[in-house]
Amino acid sequence: MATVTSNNINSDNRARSSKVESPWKVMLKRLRRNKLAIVGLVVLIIMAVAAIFAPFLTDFGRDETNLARSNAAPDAEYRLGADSLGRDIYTRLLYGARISLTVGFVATGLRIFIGVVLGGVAGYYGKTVDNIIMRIADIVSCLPFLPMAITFVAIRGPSIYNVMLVLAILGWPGIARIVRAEILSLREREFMEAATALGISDFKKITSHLIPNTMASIIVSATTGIADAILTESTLSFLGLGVAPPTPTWGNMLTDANNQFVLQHRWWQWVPPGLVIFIAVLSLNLLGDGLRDALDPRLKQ
Amino acid sequence: MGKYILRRLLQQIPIMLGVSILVFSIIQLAPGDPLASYMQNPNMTIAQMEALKEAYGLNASPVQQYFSYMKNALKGEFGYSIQLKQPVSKLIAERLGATFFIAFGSLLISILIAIPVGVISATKQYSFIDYAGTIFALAGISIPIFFFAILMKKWFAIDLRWFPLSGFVSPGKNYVGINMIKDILNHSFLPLIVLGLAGAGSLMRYTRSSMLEVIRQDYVRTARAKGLKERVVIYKHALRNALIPVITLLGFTLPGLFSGAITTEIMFSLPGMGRLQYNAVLHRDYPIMMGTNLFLAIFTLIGNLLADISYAAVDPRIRLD
Repeated sequence: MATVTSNNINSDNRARSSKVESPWKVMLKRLRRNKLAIVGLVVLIIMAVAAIFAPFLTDFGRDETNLARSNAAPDAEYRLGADSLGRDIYTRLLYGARISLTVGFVATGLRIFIGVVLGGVAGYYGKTVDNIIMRIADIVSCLPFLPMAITFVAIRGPSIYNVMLVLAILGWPGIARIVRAEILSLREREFMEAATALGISDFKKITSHLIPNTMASIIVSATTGIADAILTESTLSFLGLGVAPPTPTWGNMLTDANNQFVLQHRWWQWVPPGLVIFIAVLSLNLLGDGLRDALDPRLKQ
Repeated sequence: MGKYILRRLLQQIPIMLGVSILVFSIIQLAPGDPLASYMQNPNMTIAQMEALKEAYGLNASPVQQYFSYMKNALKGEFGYSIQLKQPVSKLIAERLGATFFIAFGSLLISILIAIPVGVISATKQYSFIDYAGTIFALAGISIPIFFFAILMKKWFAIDLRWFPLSGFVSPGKNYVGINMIKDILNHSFLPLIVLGLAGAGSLMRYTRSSMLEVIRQDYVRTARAKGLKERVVIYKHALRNALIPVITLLGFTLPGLFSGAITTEIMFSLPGMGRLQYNAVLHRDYPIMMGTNLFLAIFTLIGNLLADISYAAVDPRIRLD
C-alpha cells in the first residue's frame, strides 16, 4: 500500500516499478471478480448514459403536456404512462436522472473536497489546528441530519444548489475523520521522511504524497456517500423542499403518491420513480461493497 | 468508570454550545420577517407591531438574542411558536411520546431481526440464509424510507385494509387502558415495521462482519478444541465479543433513528417531533425549528455518550485513554 504513485518519480524508476502492481491495479483486478459489484457498475453506467442522452431516447419534451391524455396508462405511445398533466413519465424519469445523479455526484464531490482539505490539514499539522478542526467536526456531526437539512433548505429556499450545499456541509466530518486517521499513520512512514529530506513543501507533501495514498478509502466512502446523497435528495424533493417542479427529479415525481386514489389505481405514476431510486442506490451500495472488499480482502475470504 | 463518565459528560458541554450557536446562526440566516403573518392583518398598527417585535425580542442584536435564548433555554423555556401561539417546550413535550415510541419500538424490531440473522449469516457463511439476509440487508439500506412507507400503505392499509392508513389513535374514540394500547399498536404497526426493517439492514451487516471476524480468532478455536458445544462457542464466546462494536453502532444509530423517524412521522401523520418540525418549516415558524433541532442534537449527544459508556463498560481498555 505504501507504493508512492506520484508524478515526480522519474521515468527510469517508473519502468522498474511497472513490474510491481500498483494498489489500484490490484484493487481493480479484485473488483472484476465481484459479479454483484460489476452489475452495479454496469447499471450505473447505463443510467448515466441514459441521463446524458435523454433527448435522443424519447420523442417527448421534458415538460411537454398533453391534457387529452392526462393520467394515461402505459401504452405504445406513453411507455410508462402519463402523469396528471399528460407528461410522459418515461421521459421525465430520463431527465430526472440528470438531476438526481448530478446532485449525488456533485454533492459528494463537494463533501469530499471539504473533508479532504480539512482532514488533511488536521492530520498533517496536528496540535491546535487538528484540535480546532476536529472539534468543529464533532459539532457538525451532532446536528440531526435530516431535520437540519430540511431547516437549511427551507431557509435558503428549495433549489438543487442548496440541496447539494447542505449535503456537503453536513457530511464532511465523516470524510475528514477518515483522511485525518490515514494521514496520521502515513506521516510516520519512511517515504515521508524521504520527502522531508528532499525539501518538498508542505503543500506538495500533502497533495502529492499523502492524499493520493488515502484515495482508496475515500473512493469507497464516496460511493456509498453518493447513494446517501441520492436518497436524501429524493426525500427532500418528495417533501417539497428539494428541487421544485416542473424540473423533474425522481423524488418529486413521487409526490403524486400522496394521493390515495393515485396510489390505488395509477401505479405507473409512482412505482417507476420509486423503483429507479431504489435500483440506483442499490447499485451504488453494491459497487461500494465491492470496492471495500477489493481494498481490504481480509474482510472477505 | 464514574470518572470516565464524568469526563465524557464534561466534554459534551462545549460541543452542545457549538451546536446551539450553529443552529441559531443558520436560523438567523432566514430571509423575511418571522412576524409576516401578523403584518397581513390590516388592523395591526405600527405601534402594535413594534410591541410584538419587542415581545419576541427581535429588536436586539443577534448575539444578544442568542444569549437571552440560551438563558431561557437553560430554564426550560424555548420561546413561543409564532404559528401555534404556544410555548415551544410544551409543543415538544407533547410530541416526545410518539417520537420515542416509534424510535425505540423500531429499534427493538431492528435488533430482534438483525442480531439473530447476522449471527446465523456469519456462522453459516454462503448458505441460503446468508445470501437471503445479505440481499435483505442491502435492500433495507437502499430503499428510500418514504417509498417503503408508500408501498406498505398501499399493500396493508389500502389493498388489504389490515391497518389504518395514518394517524396515531382513532379520532373521536377516546379509548382508555388496554383499548388505547391496542389502538396505538394498530396504528403504529406499519410505521414501526417500516423503520424497523429499514434500520435492520445496516445493523445486520455490521453484526455479520463483526461475527465473521470474531469466529476466526484463536480463542474460538481453543473453545472448540477443548470440546465445548458449538452453541456455547458461538453464543457465549463469540457473540459476546462480536457485540462490542455492534453496541457502539447502536449508540450512533440512536440520533439517526429520531432523524429518520421524521419521514415516517410525516408519511403516517404521527404526532411526533419530526412532523412538528416539518410543519414549522412549512410555516416558517423559527422558534419551533430552533427548539426541535436543538432537542434532536441533544439526543444525538446522549446517543454518542451512551455508545461511549457502554463501549467502556464492555471493553475496559477504552477507559484508559
